[in-house]
Amino acid sequence: MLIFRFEWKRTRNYILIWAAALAVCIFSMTPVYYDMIETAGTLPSGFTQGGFWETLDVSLTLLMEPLGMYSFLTGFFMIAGGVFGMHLGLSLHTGECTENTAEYLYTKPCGRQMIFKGKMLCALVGVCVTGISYLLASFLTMMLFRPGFPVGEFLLVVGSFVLLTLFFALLGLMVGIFHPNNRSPLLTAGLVVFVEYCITSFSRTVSIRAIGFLSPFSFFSPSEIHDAGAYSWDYMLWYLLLLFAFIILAYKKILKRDIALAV
Amino acid sequence: MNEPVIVLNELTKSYGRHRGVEGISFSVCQGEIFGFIGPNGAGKSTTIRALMGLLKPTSGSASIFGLDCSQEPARIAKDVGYLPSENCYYNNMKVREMLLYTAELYGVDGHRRMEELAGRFNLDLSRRIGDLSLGDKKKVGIVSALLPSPKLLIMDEPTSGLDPLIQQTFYDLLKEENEHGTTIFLSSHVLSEVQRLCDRVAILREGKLVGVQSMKTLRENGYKKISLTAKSAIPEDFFSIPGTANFEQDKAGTSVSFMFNGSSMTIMEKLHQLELEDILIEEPSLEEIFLHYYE
Repeated sequence: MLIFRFEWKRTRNYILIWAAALAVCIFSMTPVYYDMIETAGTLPSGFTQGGFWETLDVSLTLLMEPLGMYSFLTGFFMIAGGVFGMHLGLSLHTGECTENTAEYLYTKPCGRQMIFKGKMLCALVGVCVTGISYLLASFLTMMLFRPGFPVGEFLLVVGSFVLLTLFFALLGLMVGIFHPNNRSPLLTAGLVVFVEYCITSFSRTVSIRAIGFLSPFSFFSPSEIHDAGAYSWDYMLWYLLLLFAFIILAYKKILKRDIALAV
Repeated sequence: MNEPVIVLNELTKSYGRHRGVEGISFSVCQGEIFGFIGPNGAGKSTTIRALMGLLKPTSGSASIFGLDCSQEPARIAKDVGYLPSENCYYNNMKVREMLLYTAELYGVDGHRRMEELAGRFNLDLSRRIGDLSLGDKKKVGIVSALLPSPKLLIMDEPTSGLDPLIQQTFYDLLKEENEHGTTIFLSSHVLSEVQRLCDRVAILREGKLVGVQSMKTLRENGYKKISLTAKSAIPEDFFSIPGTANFEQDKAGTSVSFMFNGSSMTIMEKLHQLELEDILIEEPSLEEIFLHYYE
């Protein structure tokens, strides 16, 4: 817990700022977009026929549902959540190398195992804090501006955001351990998340579901959640396998590798 | 002889194309102050980082207190205070926070010891690490290493950046710690420091161990530094006799200096043949002995 407490102290402000920013944004943007959909009758006929909507896995029917616009918005917030998660995970390890503090930390009696656990716990708590903040802001905005929405489906949509953030946080942790000398973790996080998002868009455009296994954005399709009331089991199984693989690979690597020092 | 605390056995660490260290073997006994000298890039820090478990040896082994450094670094670290050569700590923390965090990592209550050491080094505990000068950061590192009262101190270039007064405080403190039974292993290229403090010294050159000698032996291995000026030019091969090293001669050929550990009678006879203006026979400094090893 000592490493976790220290890491939490270091990253607390960063996590809280992200959590607050996402909460404020979803709270304020949701009513704006619902106002827009109220004029759906006046939307141009080609509004939902472009490839853009296809890539987002959102149809006009879904948009007209109580949770439709919220799902659509969450799709974009998932990009932000992914960048936050990956940057947090990455910088927990790369920071020790680029700021040259690894030589201090890794020569203390806590051991690599405890350092790994402490940093991973910090990433998990960061994801939880952001997720809870997003959940509360979403719930509040929906209650105020779209009461009567299906709570179960709502939780699945919010869960998409949390699970995707978790995915990228653990991916970031692993990448940070494999490449600790990364001096641009935010750029790396942004690029990885954007590429992953593009893969999902591509898989939806060409309608090849298998490609979706390459990107976590595909695992949380708004229309599948709406239609089935659950996440796809095959994607979920793959998601859990990947998370497990990230943790195991990162753990094995940190125990075996030389500690990278910037100088 | 006391039991060995540090044992290096054919330790090799290579970084692909870059040279690390090769086949380093020596041991450091309990209660010793052991110096580790060599120029920059000789492999001192690599060896120390392997000892601290930061680097996994390519082959060979390193152990401290009988425990393998690459297998059980955390157990070893409980009794080791380490000062890295680079003074990099968490810049956003205050010195006090950082030192108390160190104490917590060692599972000790460091308040009293921290105040005492900070007082001796004139270290302001309320300042942010990022605002400290290089010398003050070094003091933080020294206090951090000494804080848990370890059985073994490993220090990589401990006095770089310290002013002479603080250096003296540091030497005094090391001697006190040593008197209390702490084994000290320090690397340096400030040879006067090693000369002043150490019982034995290992010399490293281009990743290989040149030798391990006691300071006494190193000084008493017979080498004397001879500097002389003659009235007429001295033939270049005049001192080509067994035991001569580091021979230097000025342009005029009248002044020469060299290290000598051969027969006293032979050198006296040679000197007798010259018409000397001036002569100085002295014990060479460690720097000169050290340079001799590099010839």
